[in-house]
Amino acid sequence: MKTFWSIKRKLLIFALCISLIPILVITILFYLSARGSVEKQINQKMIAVAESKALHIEAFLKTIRGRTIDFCSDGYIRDKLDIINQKVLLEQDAVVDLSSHLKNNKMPLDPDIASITVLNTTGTVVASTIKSIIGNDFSNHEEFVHIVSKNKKEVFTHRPHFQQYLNHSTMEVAAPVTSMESGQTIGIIINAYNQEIINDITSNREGMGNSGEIVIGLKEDGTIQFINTLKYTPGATTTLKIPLNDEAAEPMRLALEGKYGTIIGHDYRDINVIAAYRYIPSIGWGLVAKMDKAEAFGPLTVLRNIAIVLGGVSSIAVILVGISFSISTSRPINRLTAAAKKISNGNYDYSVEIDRHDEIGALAVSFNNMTSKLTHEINEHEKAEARLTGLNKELEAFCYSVSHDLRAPLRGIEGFSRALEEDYADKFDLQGKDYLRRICTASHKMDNLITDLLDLSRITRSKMKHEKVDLSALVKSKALELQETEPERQVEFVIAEGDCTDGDTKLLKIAIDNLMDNAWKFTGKHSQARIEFGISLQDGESVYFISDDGVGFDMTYADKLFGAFQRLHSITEFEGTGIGLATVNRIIQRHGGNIWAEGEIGQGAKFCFTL
Amino acid sequence: MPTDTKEAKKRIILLVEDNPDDVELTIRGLKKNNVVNEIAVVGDGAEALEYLFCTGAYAQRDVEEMPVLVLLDLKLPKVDGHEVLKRLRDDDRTKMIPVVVLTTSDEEQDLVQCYSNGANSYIRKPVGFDSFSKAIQQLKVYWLLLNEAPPNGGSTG
Repeated sequence: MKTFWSIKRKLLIFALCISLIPILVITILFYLSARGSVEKQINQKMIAVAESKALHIEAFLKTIRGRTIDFCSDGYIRDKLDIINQKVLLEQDAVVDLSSHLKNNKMPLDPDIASITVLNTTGTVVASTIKSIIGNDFSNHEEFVHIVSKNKKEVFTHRPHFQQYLNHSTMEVAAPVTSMESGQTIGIIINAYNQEIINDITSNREGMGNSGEIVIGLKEDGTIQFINTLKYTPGATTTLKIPLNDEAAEPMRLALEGKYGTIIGHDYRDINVIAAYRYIPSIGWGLVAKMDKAEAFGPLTVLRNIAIVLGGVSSIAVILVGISFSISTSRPINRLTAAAKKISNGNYDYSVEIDRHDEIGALAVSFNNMTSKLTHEINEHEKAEARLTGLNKELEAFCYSVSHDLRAPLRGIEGFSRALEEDYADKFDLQGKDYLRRICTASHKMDNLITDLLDLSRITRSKMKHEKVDLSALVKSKALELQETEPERQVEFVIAEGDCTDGDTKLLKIAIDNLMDNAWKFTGKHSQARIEFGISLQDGESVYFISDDGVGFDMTYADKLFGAFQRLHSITEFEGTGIGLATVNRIIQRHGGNIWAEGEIGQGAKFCFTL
Repeated sequence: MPTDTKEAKKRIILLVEDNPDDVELTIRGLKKNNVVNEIAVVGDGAEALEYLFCTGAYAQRDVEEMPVLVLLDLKLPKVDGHEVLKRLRDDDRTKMIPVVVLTTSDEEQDLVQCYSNGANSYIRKPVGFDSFSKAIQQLKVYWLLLNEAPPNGGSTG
């Protein structure tokens, strides 16, 4: 019977659902929320870093621009430049003077300056802190182009790049120098700052972990050009150009579009990073503060692992508890079920061993009580049956011996009375003969009584057989018998055909014989008689009847009919012991049926019975 | 009594019955039907065996003179009718004697046992004398007149 859902399985599934599902849900929710907050934190941190760096750079730019402008307004420089431009005799001296002025007075003002160079309006280097470039043509330098050629009187900041004359990567800030007299641009002054100063700003990666990096870049010809030295590929700074539409350029591109925020993407190493991007408007650079995603979310990974381990461990614990609980609850139930099955199969002595202090334990105790009671009852029952069987046997033996022992003297009485009647007839007068006759009759009657009593007791004792009995056939054969005993009587037999019924053939034959005998007897006074056997249907039951049109009986005594030894007629009218109907009654009752009679004096009697 | 010219061979009927009333009635019944054979009566099974095998009280009896018919009751003291029948059938000297079981028992078991032990006939003793008398008459007609007795019982007579 294992196709049904056993209690153990149900309990297990229930326990697991109740416990595992909340654990899993809680763990997942906890992890997700932790991750959310960690992400938020990191984003905020990155944005803060980016912002601070951007501000730092802005400040820095402002400083160097300010310094350059400051230099431009230096009167000495303007003077000297004027002189140089006019190409007067003192030109050479002016150059030397200016150069030393630059070197000695200006450069020390800012230790970050790599060189200061002054160009004239044609782009020729007229003075510089680096002697070797004096006289070179710098007209193709962007600063010159921008300020002089395009005539923009403003500070120009050039992104860091490698300068041949300095043999170093520098960032140049240039500003126009105007004449003190005319106000016309007479040249430009270029401050070259070493790349390092940008790097110094960007290399402070406080708060960005080991993998953090600040990257500054600008748009140039559809690609990203990096400004500061890249941490991971320092040599490639100037050569590495990433196309704008490249995935790795995403953060920088967004920064250069003026947006700010955080994004998770790839960097130039093709590694997943979380990047905060920001625009530096004063110079048009983009700043990206990035950190390897792995490192940023490191704690999250740890968290995730902890969650998994915790979740796993508690799940296992819960599963084990669930299993043990379901087993411990279902096992006694299974035991009880098995015990019940065993007992129903006949092994009544079985008792269940369950030692629990809850309802199941109580059930087991009750169960055991029940089975022991049952066993007791069955034993009692068996004893009673055995006793009954014994009694029955005794009774049978008694009846048997009684009948034979009673009959022997009867034989004597009757036999010798006859002998007297026949052999000594002449010795007796009429009265004497009458006495003798009475003796004979009395002993006959006693014999009949004995027979009837024996029959009655046998019927009560005997085991009922269950066979198919044809009542009509029994009636027919009895009718023939009766007719043979008194062939001169005219009796009409009406016998209905019917289906076979269930019962004991022998017993039913006795019943039919008795009823037919009665019908025959009580129609004896009529010259013509009619005896009928029929079947009718009442309330779905078959009702059989044997009726005659003989002397009948008074219905007021109807309830006495079936009592033993009850007679409603005197012996002189009709012979009989009065046991016949009692016997029939017993037989019908043993078949689980009922018998009743209807009659009318002079009209006949009808005996109906069911089985 | 018709006698043989040579020796008067007694054609004895052995009646084995313990109830004296029944004995009386049976003998009367036989006489009434003109049965003139000598009737030997024994009252119990042991005596019946002694008579048949000429032992004990009947040691003097002539072994040659075996009964031509045995009327046997079943309910006998000491040795019961079934046992007598068996012993009778076991012995060469007596096994051919016709045995009619006359008993009150109507138990089927007794009937079966008698026939399987070799009884020739089983008659129930009815109470009514008429029917008893009729039974005796029929017995006489059949067993003593019609029936060919086995050689030991002598020729018909």
